[in-house]
Amino acid sequence: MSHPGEATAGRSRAVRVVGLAAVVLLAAGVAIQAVVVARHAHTELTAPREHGIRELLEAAAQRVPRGDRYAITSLARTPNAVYFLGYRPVEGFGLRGTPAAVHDRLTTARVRYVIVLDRDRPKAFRSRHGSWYRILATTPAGQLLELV
Amino acid sequence: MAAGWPWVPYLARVRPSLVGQVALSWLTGSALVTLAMLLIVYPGLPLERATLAAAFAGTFAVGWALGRRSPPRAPATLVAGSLRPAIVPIAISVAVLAYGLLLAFLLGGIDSIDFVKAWGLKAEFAFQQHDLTFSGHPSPHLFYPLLVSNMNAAVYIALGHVNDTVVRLPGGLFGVALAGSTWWLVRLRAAPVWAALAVCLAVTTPEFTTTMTSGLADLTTAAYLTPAALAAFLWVRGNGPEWAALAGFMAGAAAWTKLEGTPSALVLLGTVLLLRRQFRTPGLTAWLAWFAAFVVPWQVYMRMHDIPLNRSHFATLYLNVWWIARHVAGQLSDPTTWGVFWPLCLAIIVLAIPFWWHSEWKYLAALVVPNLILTGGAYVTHYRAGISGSVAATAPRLYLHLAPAMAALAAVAAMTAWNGLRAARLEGVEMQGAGHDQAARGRDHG
Repeated sequence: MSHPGEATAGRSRAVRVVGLAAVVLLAAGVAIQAVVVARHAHTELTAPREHGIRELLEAAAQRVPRGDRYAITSLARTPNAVYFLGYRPVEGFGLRGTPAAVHDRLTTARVRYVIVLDRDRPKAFRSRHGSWYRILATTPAGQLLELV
Repeated sequence: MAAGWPWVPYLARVRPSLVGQVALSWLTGSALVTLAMLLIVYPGLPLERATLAAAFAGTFAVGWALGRRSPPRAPATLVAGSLRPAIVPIAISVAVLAYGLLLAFLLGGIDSIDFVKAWGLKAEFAFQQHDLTFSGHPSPHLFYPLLVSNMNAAVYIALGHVNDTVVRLPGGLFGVALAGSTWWLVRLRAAPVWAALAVCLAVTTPEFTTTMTSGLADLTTAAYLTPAALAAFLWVRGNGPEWAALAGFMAGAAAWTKLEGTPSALVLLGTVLLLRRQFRTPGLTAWLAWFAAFVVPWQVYMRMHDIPLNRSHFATLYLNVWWIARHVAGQLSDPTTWGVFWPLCLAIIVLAIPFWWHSEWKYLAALVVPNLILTGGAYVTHYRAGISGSVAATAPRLYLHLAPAMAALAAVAAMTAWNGLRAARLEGVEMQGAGHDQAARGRDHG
């Protein structure tokens, strides 16, 4: 049977160990975090910086007359389009399907311009020389099309 | 910074060190000038260079006049301690902050979604329309508070054109101000090495450096919530109203930065009232007055100009607690975003419980931990009702609001452990010394 004094000493030793562990963890943790940030910085600084979408949307902002109806092929990039053009694209109709079907839907919705992103290029816009649209601008991110 | 300079001693009721003065001046100046921009458009005046200059000058003049009318402020007393052991963490912090600012010059225009649909777009409308009605603005986020978008608008007005590369820099300076204010507020109660470790831990995460210049409002919210929590801690530790004004100002500015700042600030106040066990505690009026100064004008203005709230915010509630817990745990342990920050801080705080539980720092834990737990509540609601993916995309960023305060808590928890170990060692040496003396005396007697 252990003496009460021994139990108290054991407990205080345990407390000292966890206290020391907390201090060591802090010192080691700061060093680890510094390495993590250094590696992150290296990745960030060496990664290619692409502003292709920005370039395409700036071109669209210059060429699409204010108020004219336009569409964009990526729902996720709608906020970017709004930021540069100042108003929302036409939404709610599909850009998937055959070129004829998409053309019909765009005409019905009175859409005149389409911003096509290469990362999200529907089948109807696969051809870079479509007969029913002409290309107003091309950037590494995609094209601005005007329906004819 | 110049506009906020005379306000700092007035709010803090002491004269801070240079680092604290500079950091808090940036925070107070930014909050007050952006608030003044709202007050300018209230009577229908346009936002342009002349009125913006008046906002800067008026903010400085009011602060200067209040300072003249107040009793002279004594220099703040910092805890004594050698700066030498703090040099390494300070050097790391400076390097990381310099890198964060460097990104402002390297990355070009901002394309982050929240910037282009809210903070940047609202700034552009304010710049073009010379008011804050955002008429014709297509975003559903018009009701968001204005500090960040007004600051961006002020940059555009000063430049005379929209430039979303330049606005990365003032955003980054909030990261620097957060570090400076944390350093000074922790130094009021801790030796340099612990304040340096608190700052170093706070700034050395990829999330911190990335958000410094991404055009988002999360780090700015953290820059206000952290001094709000630390000043609330000092307020609790005193018996009077000291520190209440600074705590209330920073809490109000957090609410003026982001919606989530409001509940976090109110949790801080509720904790102070609970800890002081007194509803009408000294300083409560000052805290509430500053909080209201930042919250009420925008709420009134929104109603005057029919700026709608997002009524679908609570239309769908996500109550899958297991999914929320797993998602939060997964996000906070993601090394590419946080390194080992969260497991590290939590481990230090838990291990050091036997030391800080009986010290004054338990009050800081009481101020920091509830908000950390309640942030999980953000997952149950979202502005895009019915789209659960949008919850997952946004909610993890909310933890950045609390991360610097968590870092400060971890550093002081380790400090209490270190001090406890040193005290035990000294006690042991003294007892050994006493034993030697007794033995010597025994020999003498023999």
